Amino acid sequence: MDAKKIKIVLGFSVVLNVALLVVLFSLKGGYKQQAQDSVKSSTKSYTENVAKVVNAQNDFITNGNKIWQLVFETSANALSKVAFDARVAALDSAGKLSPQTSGDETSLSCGTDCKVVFTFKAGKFAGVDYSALSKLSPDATFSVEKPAPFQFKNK
Amino acid sequence: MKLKYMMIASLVLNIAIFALVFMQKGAYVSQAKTQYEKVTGKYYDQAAMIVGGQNEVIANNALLWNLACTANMTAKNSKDFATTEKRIDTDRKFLSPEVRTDPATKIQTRKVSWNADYYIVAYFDNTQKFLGVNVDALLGKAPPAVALDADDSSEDGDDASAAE
Repeated sequence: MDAKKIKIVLGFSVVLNVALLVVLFSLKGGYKQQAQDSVKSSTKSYTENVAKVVNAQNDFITNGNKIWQLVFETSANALSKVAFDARVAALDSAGKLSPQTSGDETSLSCGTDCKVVFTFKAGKFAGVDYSALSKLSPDATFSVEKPAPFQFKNK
Repeated sequence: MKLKYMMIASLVLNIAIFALVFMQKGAYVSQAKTQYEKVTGKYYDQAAMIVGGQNEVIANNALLWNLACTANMTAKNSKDFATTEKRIDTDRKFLSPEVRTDPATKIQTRKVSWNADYYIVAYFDNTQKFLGVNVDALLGKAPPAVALDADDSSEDGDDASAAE
């Protein structure tokens, strides 16, 4: 190869090096930012999902305890319907137990597909079915999933 | 000759930088993956421990509540209570019940628990008639008064055998 050709190739190569370095450093900043954003959003998404489980469990503990307390007090003292309603109102001012009365029965919600049913006949306590609450499996209801595999999100 | 070496060096540098351009993304993805796994893994371990512990409390306290409520509606005496206790505690989560008798009042108490913090106390008169259950510990209130200087026995004794 003669000197002239070498000079041309060298010149082209040097220009290419400069261009590649510019590309390298400009991409570097972008990739770094994308990686940080990706970690941040993925981690946030996971911790939010876990927080939902923890909050749901805390709500269940609070509401479940109130229902157990109502079952206990009602069965121990044979509360009348009026007294029962007063206790429900006192313990559940926020209405989270969603009391619903149909005929002689008043149900309280202990979660999805979970109801405790109180029966009052002529205003007097006649019984309570709390089998749904006592059989509820907390392990099946409240569990934390392992983190999903990391997905790099390209912008 | 000098130019030739410079050209070769520059071309090698071309290839090296070109490779770096393509490799740097992989390096950042790898670092991001490591960071994500480290943070979420630690979070998972802590959350799983807390949620698992709470699940245990929910499940075992449900046994105590179930016993207290069922006893309220069905138990007439200590035998009935012990029978209900055995029937509900199929997985033997309860510790041995602490049975005490107040020498002055002859009131008998039977403390049923699954750990030191969560328990119920059933009361019986001197004829073993069921009087009621104290569930304050399940409600996070002060522990119920238990007879002092009483005769102690920490097992099922007569009641348990009656339940079998």
